[in-house]
Amino acid sequence: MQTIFTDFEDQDVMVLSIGAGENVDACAYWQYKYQQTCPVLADANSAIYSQFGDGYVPYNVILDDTMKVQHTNSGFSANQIRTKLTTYSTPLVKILHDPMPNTENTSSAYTVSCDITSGGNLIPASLKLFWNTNGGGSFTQVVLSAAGGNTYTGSIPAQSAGTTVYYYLHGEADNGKQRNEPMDAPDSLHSFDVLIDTAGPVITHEPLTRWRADMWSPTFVAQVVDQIGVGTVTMVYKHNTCPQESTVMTLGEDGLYTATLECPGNVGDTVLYWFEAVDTSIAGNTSRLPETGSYTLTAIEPLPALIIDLDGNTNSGPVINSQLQSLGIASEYVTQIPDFPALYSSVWICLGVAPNNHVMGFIESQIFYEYLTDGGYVYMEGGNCWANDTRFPFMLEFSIGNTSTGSGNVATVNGLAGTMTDGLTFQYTGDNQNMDNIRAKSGATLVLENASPQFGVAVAKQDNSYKTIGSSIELGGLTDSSLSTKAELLTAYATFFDLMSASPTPTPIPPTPTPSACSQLGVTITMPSHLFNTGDTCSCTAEICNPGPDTYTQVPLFIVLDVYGSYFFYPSFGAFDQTLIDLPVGSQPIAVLPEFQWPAGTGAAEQIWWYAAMTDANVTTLFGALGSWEFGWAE
Amino acid sequence: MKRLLLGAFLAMMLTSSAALGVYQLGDTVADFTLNDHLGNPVSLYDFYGKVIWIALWTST
Repeated sequence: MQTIFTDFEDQDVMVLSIGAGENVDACAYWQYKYQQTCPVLADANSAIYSQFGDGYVPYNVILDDTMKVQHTNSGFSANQIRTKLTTYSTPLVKILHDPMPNTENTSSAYTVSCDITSGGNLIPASLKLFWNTNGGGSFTQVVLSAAGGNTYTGSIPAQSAGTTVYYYLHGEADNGKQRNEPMDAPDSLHSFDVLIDTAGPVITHEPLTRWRADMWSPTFVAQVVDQIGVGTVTMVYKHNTCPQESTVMTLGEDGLYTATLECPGNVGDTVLYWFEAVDTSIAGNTSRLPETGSYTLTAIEPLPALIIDLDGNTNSGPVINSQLQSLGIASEYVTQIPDFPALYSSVWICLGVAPNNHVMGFIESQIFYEYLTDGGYVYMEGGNCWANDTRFPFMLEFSIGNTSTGSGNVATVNGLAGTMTDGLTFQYTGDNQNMDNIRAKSGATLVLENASPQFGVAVAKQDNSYKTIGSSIELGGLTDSSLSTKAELLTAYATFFDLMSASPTPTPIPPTPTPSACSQLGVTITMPSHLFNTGDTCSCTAEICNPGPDTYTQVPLFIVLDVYGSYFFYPSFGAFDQTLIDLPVGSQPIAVLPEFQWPAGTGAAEQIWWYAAMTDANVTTLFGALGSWEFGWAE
Repeated sequence: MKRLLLGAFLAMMLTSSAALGVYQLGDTVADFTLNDHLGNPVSLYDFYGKVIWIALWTST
């Protein structure tokens, strides 16, 4: 199908690949599997098929250029389809045209150009440009002039600024075929604006705040649009170990501009960055994002573990989360797939057991597939995802083979001699229905099996760059006993994932002293006085409080000095800056300004403010209380 | 087993729908809109003026 589409794509032939009874996710897998570039459409309830079908699927319908049914058949014969497509596409009138862009030209005519071909003989007087300035039903007609080859041109007189010009093209051949461009003109029309552009390009960007140092360098993406046209887009950045640099961003086929950094990224490094763009207008308008200051990206160590609990029964994910934390491994627990799983060195996916399971779709699986093949570590447990459900490329990476849909017969689960689980034994009391029986394919290792009947329930694999553990039982369903505990099993898994030897939390910035007790989550900021005179001892201290019991890592902290509306951000006191801090239970001070003697000759001022606050990771919501302190000085 | 049942159900559904086919050779097909593999709506008449091959498939 794809080959035929490719061969006929430039001959005014369109292929619609329609999944009868298939949903969007199934179509996404079909598109991926067969690398189809034509539209792959979901006819979820077979409503469209029922309008055509009088045979079995695959089923083919060929419509001519006026939407009339010309051919139907069941099965698939490439030669037959090619013959039919050739038959119905050859006599068509075809018009190729790149729509006119907006223009600042108000003094000379606008030339509209197109290529027109036909299976018959074109009728020169019928080749026309229709235009107006109101988009209505009355058009000025211009007969197109031959410009050599298949190219024809027509002119529209110059218009004043503020005018929108609407137009379409038309052609006929002596075989009775005719064509408008756009095809459904005049219902749809091409248009362009005549204007004086005074605005710079509009830049949009989803800020990057954290990036793993071990997966450096990040790619920065921005969308840039302009009324007349985008000229150059530049990303300017200041790495804390490199001088300020700028790089011209590259426009991709997806219409997005991208850039990467040339500086290395070590844990704790920060990058301040912003975008500048200039348009192609006469004035050369410019714009900047953000309008002032910069975005801040911090290079971090990978966060150790993320538990993604997708099934309705949360009887395993919370157990894994608490057990990992008991082992000193910082973990986070979510019930939806986050935007950036790549921040984590390991991902633990819980899919549950039927009938309370989550069936992973292809689109979801691709997120994890990319994470895994980029060097991630994945544990995934599910009673039905290895045999019963569709196994997408992500599942295949676990090298779990020869699976079969089992029954509810998991009872005693044992570790395997010579593996990470050697000597472990459990009773299984978790969800237990249609449990997939699994085996290790070449390159993988069986690490847990059901004793009787004997079948595998967990398989581990170490690839060159990634590691997987696939399990058909829920870890939360294992019973601790004097023989073995879930903590022991998780210790084995975590060690396999290199989590036990790694530092459990990222290095904080800056290093903090041992915290003391406090009562309210948030930040207070203080100075020795509200008014300073020459010779007074001055300093500024922020006190970060986390009353517990939870602890947090990599929390954005902002400390701002407000001098009559001009803002200076700690620690650089530049136009924009921030730090990321860890929050153990208790209070920790941060020296914002070290002690110094207030100098002479500074005049007088008042109503100068400090503000200090923590936010969520996306810097959209305050995290805890905000602190402030007003001060001034006099002589 | 679930897959077999699903396949049988779909086959039954497709077979029964055979009697419901409404378009004959020469009929003009009315516009319809379906979501593509990214969830974006696509209409048949977006391609009016082209020769269109509607290739119906099923994964079961």
